[in-house]
Amino acid sequence: MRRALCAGAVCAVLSMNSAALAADPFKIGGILATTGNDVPQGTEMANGMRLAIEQIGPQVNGRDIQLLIEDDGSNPNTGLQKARKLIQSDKVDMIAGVLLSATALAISPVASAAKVPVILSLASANALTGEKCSPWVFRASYANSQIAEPFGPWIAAKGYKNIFILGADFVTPREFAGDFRRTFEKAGGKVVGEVYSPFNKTQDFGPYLAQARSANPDAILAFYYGAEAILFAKQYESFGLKGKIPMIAMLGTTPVMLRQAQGSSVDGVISSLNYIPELQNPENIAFQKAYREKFHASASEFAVMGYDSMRFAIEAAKKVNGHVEDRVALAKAISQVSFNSARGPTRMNPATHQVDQNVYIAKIVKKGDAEVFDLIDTIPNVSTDASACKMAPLQ
Amino acid sequence: MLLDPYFFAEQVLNSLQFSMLLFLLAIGLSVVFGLMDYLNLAHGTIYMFAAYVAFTVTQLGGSFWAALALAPFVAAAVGLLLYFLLLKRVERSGHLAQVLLTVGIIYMGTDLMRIAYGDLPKGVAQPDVLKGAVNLFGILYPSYRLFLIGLGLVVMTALYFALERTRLGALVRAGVDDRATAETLGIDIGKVFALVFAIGTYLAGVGGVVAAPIFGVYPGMDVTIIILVLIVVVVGGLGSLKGAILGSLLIGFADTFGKILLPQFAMMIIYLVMALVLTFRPTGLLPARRFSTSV
Repeated sequence: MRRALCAGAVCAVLSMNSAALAADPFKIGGILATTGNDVPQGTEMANGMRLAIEQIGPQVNGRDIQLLIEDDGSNPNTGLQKARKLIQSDKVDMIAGVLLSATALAISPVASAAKVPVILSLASANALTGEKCSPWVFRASYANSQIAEPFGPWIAAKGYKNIFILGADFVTPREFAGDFRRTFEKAGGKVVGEVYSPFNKTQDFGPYLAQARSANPDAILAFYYGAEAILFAKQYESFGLKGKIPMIAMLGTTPVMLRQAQGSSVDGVISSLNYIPELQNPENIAFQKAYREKFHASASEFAVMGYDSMRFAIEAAKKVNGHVEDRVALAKAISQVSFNSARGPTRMNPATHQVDQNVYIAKIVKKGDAEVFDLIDTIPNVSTDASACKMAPLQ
Repeated sequence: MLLDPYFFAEQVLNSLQFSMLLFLLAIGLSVVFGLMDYLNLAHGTIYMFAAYVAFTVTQLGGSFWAALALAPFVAAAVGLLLYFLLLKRVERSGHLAQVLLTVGIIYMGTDLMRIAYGDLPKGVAQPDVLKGAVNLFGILYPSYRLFLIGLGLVVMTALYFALERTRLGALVRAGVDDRATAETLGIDIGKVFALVFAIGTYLAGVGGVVAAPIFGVYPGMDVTIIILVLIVVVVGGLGSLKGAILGSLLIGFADTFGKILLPQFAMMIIYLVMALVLTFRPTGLLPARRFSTSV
């Protein structure tokens, strides 16, 4: 009798385990900014991620996709703590959705040691798919070099031979400027000045604009974001430079989210970017429509990159038939994903773990009484230099 | 580059314009600090609030001038409300309590604006009549910034006359100089202070509205400006109009020229100026109370 009871109990326990396994959710963690400086970008990214789960999920091979978003407050120390929480106590299968480069750099060793694949949804510092690459870290967004390098020869070919660079003093503008400068100078261009202002502490750009003007360049290349981008654009106009010295930029300086604030001061600015909401491919049209229905706003590049990072996660999980516990197989599967995203064809490059994608050159024009992007050129299938990354094999 | 007279003149104008903005905020903070020994860090919050009110006014179809007429009064009203409800409670509790309270108000204010208006920076358009630039002896300088300089000079003159030539001004100066004696003479310092606080907050509101078209409106603008204003007040000396004027000019020029000469050290230049001044004049350059017992 006792034996039967025991056997019965054992059976019950065993059957409970296997039942639990079938319903085990596919847990994905995200580390975005829901407080701090980057909240607008973080919110859009989270929206994109949730839309992806809705559209491509909500399940993978019978397993529910569970998204746990943690806040890093734009602080890499907090990001690291949250990563540890996600990996060790929440036991996520993957982290897909990291905004800040500093956070990404901090969590990369931790995630790699714990064998948790990470898909970055922004975090564009070159090092992440360069010297600091890891077999466990992938990037669905872009590397700064992808946006900057093609722009150099393009600008030189258009006749802008002398450029003055003005930017906020932190790593992203300096990386952008460095990559641009290399290809621009090789194409025969000349950087006649490069001045950086204290990051997030500058309100008056008058002195910097005056310096740029006195060097008499063919164009001013501006690297400012958020509030500084608004101030810079308005002051560029109020000092009479608009119409005299053209402004060129890269993504982030004249984004959709600053349209109201920048107004007409950015009319005519040419930027290189990896996405504009005005792209006419069928995926983007569908994406903008779905996003608008769910969130009542037009989607920006952050929403697209959030969406795509989830898509890479889910497609990889599909490739391993839902067996995401086999982390090595899961990570290898991420390397093999490619699809047509709202931003055009994207393919995870197995050598760099950076998505190869189109780069667009677009100009801001006035249409009616709103500013929109007008696509001027497309540079297809831009990848990054694989030589800086020495990746250990996955195991 | 600095030797080019046009470039130099333009930077002088830039410095003046920035100094005027700093002055509008510094004078309120300085006299409040000098008169009542009250360190009100939430002065920047009023500045930010007025900028948001200006944004709302322009969004509702009002002109910049309507915003300029309305927003500072709203800001002053809110300031007085804050004073009577909250700030007054720690009037006698020392600087630490005042800092704690007003920093708390800063956090609350920033988050309230964030909840009400979102995180994205907003813009306020310059008034049409001031759009564009003026040709000033060969320099093309934005008309709006010239307006700011003019406004600052007008306020400086008006305050000078108010402080030096009116009875109320005398009361204020007496209170700053020696509060105890003034009270013995029957002056109701409490009422004087409330009035001074209201005027100071009103000027901070004016600062917020006029700064908005150049600097934008965003949560966090309060902290950015209050740091600079505190430096101005410390360098210029507490409680005096001349100190506030000198301090704003010094910091305005140091900041602008610092950016040109040493862009990587732009922030440091201001702190360096402050350190130098404090080394040789610990109470600032022109404080109202040179030999104060309560410093």
